[in-house]
Amino acid sequence: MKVLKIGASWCVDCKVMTPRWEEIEQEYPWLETEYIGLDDNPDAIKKYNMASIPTFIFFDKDGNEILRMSKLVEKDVLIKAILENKDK
Amino acid sequence: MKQKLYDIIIIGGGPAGMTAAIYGHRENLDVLLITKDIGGQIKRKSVEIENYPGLGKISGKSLIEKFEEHLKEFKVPVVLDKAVKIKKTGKVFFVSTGDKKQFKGLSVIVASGADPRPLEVTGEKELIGRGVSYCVTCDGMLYKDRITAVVGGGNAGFEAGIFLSRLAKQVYILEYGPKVRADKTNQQIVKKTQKIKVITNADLKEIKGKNFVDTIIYQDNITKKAKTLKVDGVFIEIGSIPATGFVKGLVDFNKRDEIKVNPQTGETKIFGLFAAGDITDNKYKQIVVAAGDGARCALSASRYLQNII
Repeated sequence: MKVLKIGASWCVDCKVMTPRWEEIEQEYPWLETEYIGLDDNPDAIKKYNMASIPTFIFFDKDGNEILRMSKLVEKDVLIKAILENKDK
Repeated sequence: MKQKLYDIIIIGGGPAGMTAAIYGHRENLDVLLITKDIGGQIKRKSVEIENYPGLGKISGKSLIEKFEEHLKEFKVPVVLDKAVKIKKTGKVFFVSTGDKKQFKGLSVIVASGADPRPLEVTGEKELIGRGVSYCVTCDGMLYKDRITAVVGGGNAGFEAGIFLSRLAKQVYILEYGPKVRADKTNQQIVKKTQKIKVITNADLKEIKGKNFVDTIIYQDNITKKAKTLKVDGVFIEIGSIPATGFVKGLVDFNKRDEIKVNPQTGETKIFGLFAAGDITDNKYKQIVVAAGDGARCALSASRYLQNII
């Protein structure tokens, strides 16, 4: 499982989520994540059918989207989703 | 390890909360700011702010950054979390957060502002983040060359429509009543913008889409017939509701669910618990008024602390 985090410099809520994800990534070092910034990658809007920012897309081992979250998500909720999907 | 006892815990990161934090720091008090977001309602402002003294015309994002920089200069600690409960035992307040942390303070300033008012129609909740949005400045950029609808014919709705028209292929503004409520200036701008179509007497009934929004259904209030619009995004701009859930049972509210405060001091009925900004029963909901409220509450909290310590 891998989590794609999509944000942008103009996104205020992204500033809140960045340290939250940093904490999670430290606590769960096995977690694979990747960040895409829309400032440098505007094509990602279409590619990932972005409708909200920030967006967090969970992909399984085969690259299929299994879960999508957006906006301000509490740390507990993210951890629960990560642990529930970690073997997928 | 013994838990730290703050002089003031401020809840909310909008102009009221940030100003309270600055004033609390200047009173040489130990201040903690707990906030679920940065900037509060300013981040949803889709037009430039032009009535904050000394700054001329400024975008909501830039004003937030200026507040943040000011706060950082004073090194006020900020916890990015949502306050979910306040309890007072003796002289000490306990503030619990969504991430299950607890903080102790001798006084609390509630400045959590207001949340967008939902429409409460079928499909809305399920499609939040999938085409349903309450923040055009946050998500509008994602709708370049797409079709969008704004629900609400007041100034916020019209300003959202104008913002979207710079990006989207088509913008519909839906107003429930027979006449729009936006001011004349906004109406004139919209009239000149070919991409925007205003639909009055439109009662939105349902937002549809399998994974993402693709259709909205509204009832024409005159003909009573259901009409369908193909859209990629729906922006809801029908006002806001005070974010008071975590102080229910503690303080008194007016009929609009705003916290009743002493207008001179910002005190609530609980000693040591103050409220500032749009969450209170203050008549004028303005950024500069909220900032002034924050200052008033911090100064009142400082006087309160002098009396109890």
